[in-house]
Amino acid sequence: MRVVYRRQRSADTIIGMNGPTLKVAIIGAGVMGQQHARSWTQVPYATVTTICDFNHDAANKLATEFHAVATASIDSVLASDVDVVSVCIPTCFHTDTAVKVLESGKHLLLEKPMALTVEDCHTIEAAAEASGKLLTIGQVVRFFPEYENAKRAVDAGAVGTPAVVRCRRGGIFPLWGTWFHDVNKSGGAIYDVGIHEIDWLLWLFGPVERVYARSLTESLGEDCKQDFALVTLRHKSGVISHMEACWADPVVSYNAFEIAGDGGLLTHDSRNNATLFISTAEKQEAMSPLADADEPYNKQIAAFAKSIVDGTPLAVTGADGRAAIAVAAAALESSRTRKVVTL
Amino acid sequence: MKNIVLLSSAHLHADAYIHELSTVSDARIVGVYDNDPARAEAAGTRYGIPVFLALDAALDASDAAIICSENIHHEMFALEAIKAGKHVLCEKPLATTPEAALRMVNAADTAGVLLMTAFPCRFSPAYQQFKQLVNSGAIGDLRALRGTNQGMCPGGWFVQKELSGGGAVTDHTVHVTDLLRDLTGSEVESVYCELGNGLLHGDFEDTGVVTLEFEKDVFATLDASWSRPKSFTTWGNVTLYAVGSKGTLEMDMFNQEGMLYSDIKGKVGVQNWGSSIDRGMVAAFVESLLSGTLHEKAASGTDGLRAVEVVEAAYASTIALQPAKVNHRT
Repeated sequence: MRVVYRRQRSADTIIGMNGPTLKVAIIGAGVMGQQHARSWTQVPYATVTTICDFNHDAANKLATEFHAVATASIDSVLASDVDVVSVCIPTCFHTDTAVKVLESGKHLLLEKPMALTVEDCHTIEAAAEASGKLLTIGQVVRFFPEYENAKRAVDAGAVGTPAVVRCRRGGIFPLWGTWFHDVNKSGGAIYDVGIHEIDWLLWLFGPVERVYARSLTESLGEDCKQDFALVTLRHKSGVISHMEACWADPVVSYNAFEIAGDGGLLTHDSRNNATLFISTAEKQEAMSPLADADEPYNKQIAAFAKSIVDGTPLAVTGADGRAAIAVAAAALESSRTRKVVTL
Repeated sequence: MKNIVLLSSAHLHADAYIHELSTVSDARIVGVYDNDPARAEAAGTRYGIPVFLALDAALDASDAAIICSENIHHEMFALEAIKAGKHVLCEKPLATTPEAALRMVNAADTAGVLLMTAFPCRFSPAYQQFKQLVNSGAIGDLRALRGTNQGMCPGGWFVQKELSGGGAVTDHTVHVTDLLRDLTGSEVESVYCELGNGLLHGDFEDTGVVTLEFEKDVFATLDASWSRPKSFTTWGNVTLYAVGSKGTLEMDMFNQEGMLYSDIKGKVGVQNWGSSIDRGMVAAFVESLLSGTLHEKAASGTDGLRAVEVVEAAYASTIALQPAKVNHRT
């Protein structure tokens, strides 16, 4: 399924040319669209030319900030000469839009989760293959330095052979979107935040054999904007992973992981990583700044831009997106049926 | 004054119980008996207490017994003590099978003596406040819980199944299970467990991740793994995280500690300064002896039995590869 792409031009040649050569459109001017726009502007040879959102105000505001054109029409993006599109819209619309973008001959950075079903993931991958354009999924946690470091450490044998892993991604309920509480649109916390942990677990410990999960997803809805899932994975390697996806902490939350192997234990807890703490009458805030080049979203987009211009293999492929969705779908099914789901 | 005998010091918790008993004014330790005479001698010397060479004599000299033997001998010691009309505080897990635990519970009921299970976590001030906050509705309706009782592998008889009954799942499922039962006021309905031996590669499980479904509409997971390496700063942890309809609540029971970076020992370690949960439990046992009824915070023999039933279901689920119903004995 992996597609080999050939590029004639190297990144060096392109950067040396006058003016930017990668024209970028952002579809969806919400929280993630804004993040993508900021990160694309960090790429020296890219420029954000178009912001598309059916909400005119949101599109205009972001377009003004980035000196881009605002549009409410996806078709106009498809018909334009942009080279690459970041799609940052509700998950339930991913498949249709992704296929259209790829069919129109543009490279695609599709926000996570890739889609709501494995079948839809296949459809998107097939569109990428048919178009010869690059497809990557915003499984950005791989670019978070602490998670990247864990990958390097585990691969280098720092904990010996891994045996039991715990990870948690926490957050307040995303009240900025009106669709998150509809499981048929977002997939709930397992899909929306758990997907990061699933991707990272697959990246470090390989394919999953079986899944058992319990969650509050069944009661998610207009009147219950809270979700929480506890998922146990058995990897084919024998590793046991416990994954927690949280949309339940009302104000502040945290992320954490630990990897126990026969040679040691590696731990991370975002509450312990502040390099700055401000305390005034107005606010108390812990901060943990990174250099611009090390910011995960910047790294994700820089890596994709590089793949586009010089053929560097993609950091995250459509197949990686689909593999994560397969586990998320199994977890949701397990939680609904209260049965172990074997993949 | 209540006279208490220690029946075996195989379990390392005996040290703490004996130490805490020495701080309780209404009780004294009259001596130690052990099925292993050499261990009895060592304990007698360590604690500065008499050594009994016969179980009969040990029980004759006492009002109550604290059992800290290998798990497999809990039943024998308890039934002997109960037969002699003595009250019993038994180390967890109460027994290696629910049937054995039930025999202990029934024997104590018939004899009219107290049987208390050593679940000291119930006496943690952090847990008590956790429970009070949940019960007061501070986080709304309780919906889900996540717990851990991870530790270092204790080695010795704990990893000999013929003496322990099982590995990490036997050793570490029961504490958090008991807290969750106490907190929810509900029994565990079904259990799913993934376990393995990937840490120590022995013929016992050293990892275990357990999912509990309660009769009340609440689910939980607990991690019972012996996943703290030898180089870790402390023996392990007991943590709970609760999700309620209005918020979340998190407990790290033994987090009241300072770090000691010791060039003398060549080791980084913790210095815990929190309230002793063992003191609370031992004091409650002595209060129970004085009043003749089990202390309100104490775990009964039936509480011990219920936790053993959860362990049984955890193992059963690893064979069926599906959640196993808990078989509640009466």
